[in-house]
Order: sequence, then C-alpha cells, then structure tokens
Amino acid sequence: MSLTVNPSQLQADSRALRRSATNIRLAPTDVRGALNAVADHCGDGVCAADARALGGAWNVAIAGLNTGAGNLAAATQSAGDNYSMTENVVFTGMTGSAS
Amino acid sequence: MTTILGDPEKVRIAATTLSDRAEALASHAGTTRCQQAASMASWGGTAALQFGCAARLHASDADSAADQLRPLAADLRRFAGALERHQSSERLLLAKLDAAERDLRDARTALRLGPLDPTATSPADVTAAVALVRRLTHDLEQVRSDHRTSLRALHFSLTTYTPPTALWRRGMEVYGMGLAYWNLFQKGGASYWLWKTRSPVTDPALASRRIGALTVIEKGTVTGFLEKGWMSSVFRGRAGGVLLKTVRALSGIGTAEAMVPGARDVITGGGYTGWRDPATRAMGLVEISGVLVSRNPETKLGGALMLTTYAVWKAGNKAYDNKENLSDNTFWESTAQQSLQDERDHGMLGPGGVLALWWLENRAETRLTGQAAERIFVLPRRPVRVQLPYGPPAPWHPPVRTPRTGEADPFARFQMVPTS
Repeated sequence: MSLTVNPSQLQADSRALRRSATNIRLAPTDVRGALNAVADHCGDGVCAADARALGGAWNVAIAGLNTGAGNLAAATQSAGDNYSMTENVVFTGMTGSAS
Repeated sequence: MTTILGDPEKVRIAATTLSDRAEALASHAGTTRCQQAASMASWGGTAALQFGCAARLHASDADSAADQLRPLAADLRRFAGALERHQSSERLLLAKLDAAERDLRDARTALRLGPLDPTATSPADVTAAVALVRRLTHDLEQVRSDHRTSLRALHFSLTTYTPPTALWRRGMEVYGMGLAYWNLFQKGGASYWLWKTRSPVTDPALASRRIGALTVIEKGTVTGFLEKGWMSSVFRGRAGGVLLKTVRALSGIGTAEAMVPGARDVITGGGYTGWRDPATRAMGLVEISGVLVSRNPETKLGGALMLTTYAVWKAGNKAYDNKENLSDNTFWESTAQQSLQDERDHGMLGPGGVLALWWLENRAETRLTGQAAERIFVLPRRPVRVQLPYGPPAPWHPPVRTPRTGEADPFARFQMVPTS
C-alpha cells in the first residue's frame, strides 16, 4: 500500500469543511420553519397539510446532509491528527534513539 | 366577506428563506468539491479514495437538494403574488358588489314607491343595476376560480419538490427506532419472566415463558427465529429432519450471533463522538458479557439484566438522535397519512385504514391556525343573500289623512306587494 499525505493540509481542509458545515447547520430548522409558515399562511387546508409534511421531509433530509458534512470534516480532521501524531511519534523515537 | 385567506407577505418571506438556504446548500456543495480536490492533491491511498468518493457523493446530494429547493421557492413566490392579486381584486369587487346591491335595492324600492318618490326610478334602471350585480358576481367568481387554480398549482409544487433522499432516510430512521424499542421490549420482558421464574416452577405456562425468555437472551435474531414453536411445522418429514439437523448444528452459533451487536459497538463506538463514543463501547462490552453470563444456569438473570441495560442504552440513544422527530407529532402523522393515501390510491385501504386516514386528514385541517382555520368554516363560496318577498313594512302609526279624489283606500300605497 502506497500512502502520500500532508497532515497539515488535511487539517486545513477539515477546518474549511467544518466552516462550510456550520453555514448549513441551521438549514434544516429554517427550511422546516419556512414551510410551516407557508402552512400557516397559505389559507388552504390541503396545501397546509402538504406544506407541513414537506417541511418534515426536508428537515430530515437536510439534517442528514448536515450530519454527512460533519462526518467528512471529522474524518479529515481525525486523519490529519493521526498522521501528524504518527509522524511525531516516529520522529521523536528516531531522534531519541539517535541521541 | 372575503373568502380568499392567507398572508402573501409571510409566504414571500418563507420563499426568501428557502432561496437563501438553497444557495447555502449550493455553496456548501462547491466548498466540499474544492476541499475534496485540495485534499486529494496531497493525500493518496485507499482511505483518500474512499474520502474522495464520499465527498463527491455528499456534494452531489447537497446540489440535488438545492436544485429542488430553488423551484419550490420560485413557486411559493409566484403563489404569494397571485394570492395578493386575488385578495385585492376580491376586496375591490366585494366593495363594488355591495354598493351595486345597495343601489339595486334602492332602485327596486323606489320603483315600488314610484308615486311617492320624487326621483322616480324607471324599470330600465333596475335592469341595469341587476346586470351590474350579475357582472360583478361573475367577476368575483372568476377571481375565486383563479385562486383555486393557484392553490392547485401550489399543491402540485408542495407534492413535487420533495427531498431526493428523504423517504429513504425517514424509513430507515423509523425502522431503526422501532427495532431499538422492540429489542428493549423483548429483553425487558425476558428479564421480567426470568425474575418471576427464578425459583423452579411447576406451572407449564410459566415454564413456557421461561423457555421463551431464555431464547431471547441466549440467541441472536436468526437463531432465535428458528427456535419458534411454529417453525416445527417446517421440520416435518424427511427433508425437514435433515433441515432440523442442520439447524441444530448451526444453533451453536447462536451465542456468537447474540454478541454481534455488542461487538459492533465495541469496534465502532456506535459512530458517535465525544463521551458517547467510549460509553457506547463500554455498553457493547456489557452486552457481550451479558450473553456470556447468561450461558451459566446460575447467572441467567444477571445476564438478562445486563442485556436489558444495553437495550435501554441503545433505545435512549435512538431517542436522543431523533429527538426532533419524536417531539414533532406532524412527523408521525404526515408519515402515516402519506402511507395511507398511497394505499388508498392503490385501492388497498380497508375500512380501518379509511377511518384512520379520515381522522388524520381532519387533524391536519384542525391544526391550522389563524386565518386558515377560519377557512374551514366558510362553507358557501357565494354569499347567500336573503331578500324579503314583500315590500317595506307598514308604518306603526298609519297617518290619518283625508282621502284624495278618486282614491278609494288611503293606505293602498302601503299594501304589501310581492317583489319579482
């Protein structure tokens, strides 16, 4: 298995992904709130029921996206941290044994 | 009285929110693609490839969601415009109609009181007033018809722009929660019956309960299923005997199968982060220990309690993970309503289902608030106007007058004449 990695780059990418995930953190509740507002103010019973059902479905769907975004950020963060730690452990071990 | 209800401004604000969130999702998809490309430039290996695939899929999902939300927001904005237009047209037409009807009433009254009224009205005036009322009524009905068309378009949008993966996710969440609670119910019940039969029992019913509880505790899902009493019908005959021997040989793996959920949690930590990760791993150990402890005849109850503790932990986690859905009655009601509607559309709904759907649809109606709630009680679309069949009532004190020449009855002009 060949492996190429730049741990600090991975950690930086993780931070960018996390920022992006934070931007959509409130999206599920916002979308659901907007569709509930449509239900309350559209003036029709059938459309109101549709809007509420759709709000619930979107809430679940975007919450899933949100979780996925968090997982991607966590995965790159974890990979960067672990590669970096391994590098440090090996480096420390080598310099310790050399001195 | 207006019958076109709703607040276009609130709908417009909701549409703007949806547009904003769609743009946020599209931006997030772009960022994910950029970061995926940047990561792949400096990261190579199997894990890197997996990450690349997952990131691309995630970005594609986010783009799909944004692509569905954008037209929904546009349709909502279009509906808000139509609602505003229809409400203002209706208000204007109602005011005009009210005035025209008043004029018509006055004209008819004046026609009846012709000899008394100095500004006598001709029948042509009444005809013109009737025509005006008819035209305004027709225009009003047209506006209402246009509004019903707008509502149908909104209904289409609200049932078309559904999230691409929502139903699958929803189904999996409901299934996962149901499974967790079913496990808790089974394990809790098994612990209870093992506690009740901790001393040797002579009652066959209790003994049967104990055997069932032991199956739940000691076996996994598949091996426990094979132990069910009604499965014995499958093992009849020669072929059934061979099958039974095979199953008996395989039943040794029941213990291993029963430990699978715990082992999975020990390895993965349930996919949680923070303190729930080690806690879930520890609870996985508790589950494995429970299965092992329950193998000893002396400690079966202890094993059952350990397994119940694990089931409580899993069910609690599921409840916490889905706290938003659990606290939202509309989630459950709309899911059930959609399923029942699908079954009804396919002609598969029984009488109980029809009743349940009727109840759910009524609940959805009565959940409306504000103006929308009033809409239910506004049954007649066209206002009902009751016209008295007779003219104005006679005066309370009839005037005492001298009859004019040629006038037989002084009160003849006040007699009640049926209107046309």
